Amino acid sequence: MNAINNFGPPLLGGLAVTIGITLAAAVLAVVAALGGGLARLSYYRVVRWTAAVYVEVFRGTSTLVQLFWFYFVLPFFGINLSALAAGILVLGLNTGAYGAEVVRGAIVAVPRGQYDAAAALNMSRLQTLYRIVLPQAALAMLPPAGNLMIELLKNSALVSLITITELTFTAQLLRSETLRSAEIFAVVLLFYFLVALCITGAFRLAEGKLKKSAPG
Amino acid sequence: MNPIIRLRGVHKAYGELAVLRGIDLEVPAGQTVSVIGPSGSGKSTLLRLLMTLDRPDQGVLEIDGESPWTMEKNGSQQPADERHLRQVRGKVGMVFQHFNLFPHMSALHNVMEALLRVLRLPRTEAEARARERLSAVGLADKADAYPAHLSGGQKQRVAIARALAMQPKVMLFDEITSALDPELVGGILALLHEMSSKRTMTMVIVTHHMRFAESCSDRVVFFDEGVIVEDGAPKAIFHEPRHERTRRFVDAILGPEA
Ligand SMILES: Nc1ncnc2c1ncn2[C@@H]1O[C@H](COP(=O)(O)OP(=O)(O)OP(=O)(O)O)[C@@H](O)[C@H]1O
Ligand SMILES: [Mg+2]
Repeated sequence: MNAINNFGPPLLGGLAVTIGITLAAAVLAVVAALGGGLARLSYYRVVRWTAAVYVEVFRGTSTLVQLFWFYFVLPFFGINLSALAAGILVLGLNTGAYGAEVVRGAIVAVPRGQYDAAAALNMSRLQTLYRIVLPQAALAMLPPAGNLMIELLKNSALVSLITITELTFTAQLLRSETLRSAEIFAVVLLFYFLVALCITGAFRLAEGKLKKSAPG
Repeated sequence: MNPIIRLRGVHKAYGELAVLRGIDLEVPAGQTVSVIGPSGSGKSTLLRLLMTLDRPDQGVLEIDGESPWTMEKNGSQQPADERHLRQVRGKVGMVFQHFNLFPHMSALHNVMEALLRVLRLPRTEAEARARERLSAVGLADKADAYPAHLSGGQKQRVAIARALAMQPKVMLFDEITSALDPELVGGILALLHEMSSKRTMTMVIVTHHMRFAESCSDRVVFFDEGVIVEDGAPKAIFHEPRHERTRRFVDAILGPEA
């Protein structure tokens, strides 16, 4: 309790940055996951290929190295990103690459008969996608998406290495001033845990809502 | 008058497997045709081609005088665009063996969906038509139920209402009773009978209910190994088949006495 009283308030600023980065990256991740997942199922080979390269590159390389690339290497090619932008971009694209596989898996799990029925009713491809396929796939996407979001939250600590003073970095600074490692990192753990709990809760809630509007 | 369905030399293969091997068939508007034949003979494949869910490898397929897959452009035949395909496809409707209802929509919304999005009816009109169709299949009180809470027979009624609400010229039925418990089959067949007796729609019915085929259709087509073996009046097919293969199939199912 004392630890929270002493170190909670100075860590709150860092917590806010962590939450902000996570949220921004999550939005990007959702867009990238939907785009990437759909692109992997495209009729056009070029589109499928591009998406596959995106997914494999981001899944197959270290997130930390990606961060260094976006922040330290891209400037040599004339692209200067702020640390915040680089952090959000890498975290979002990284999570999106995993998410694209989730989206793809959920979409291919929708039975063939649903496409047949939609075509027999003369619905367009786009209508079939957003009225029939995606709503059914969404339910299957939610649990793995929740996991990815928690993963994203934890990965957000990495951006401390490109000079962003989020929760973990703030804790480091505080530690070097006060040398009270145990208490500081206990509070940090608690903060991460609470945010993760919120994410889990939000996804449970969304799942319940979807299930209720689509029983069975 | 032009036939509403016209097939000439239609071939379809899945990989190495030649499923349809030269189908010629013409169906005049308003006729009810039953398609019978052994499992794997290509009956479902034929209906999928008619529904334009698949395209023939070879041959001519026309619905109401138009090919769904080619269109005339600048004086020559070109591959059809999606608009042309949908314009032809809109003349046909289909009911499937496994219903294929949309699980995330109530019975009412299953029926309304395409009325709203494809026919673009105003909401009140779409709902009125959907409710009317659901009553016609005896499901007025199940409008708000989701598919998961309906019996097989009820699901199939919703699927029939959903297809009928689009008012297609041609309706295709692919073994629509074979996933149902036996006690539910009679009701669905009665519904089919009622539809065909109005003669406002062309109906192609794949079924293994021989008595139903005999009593309700104008014409029976016997399919085997991807070709039409025999095509004629129900009486002729069931009682005086011209081909040995037809006789053996009919006997095996009806028993030699029938
Ligand atoms: N999409 C597909 N890919 C590969 N093979 C297929 C496909 N659809 C059908 N077939 C094969 O084509 C053959 C004919 O199938 P079809 O479903 O048309 O037969 P059917 O007469 O409807 O049989 P049943 O009475 O069992 O329904 C079968 O051997 C089947 O395995
Ligand atoms: Mg079949």
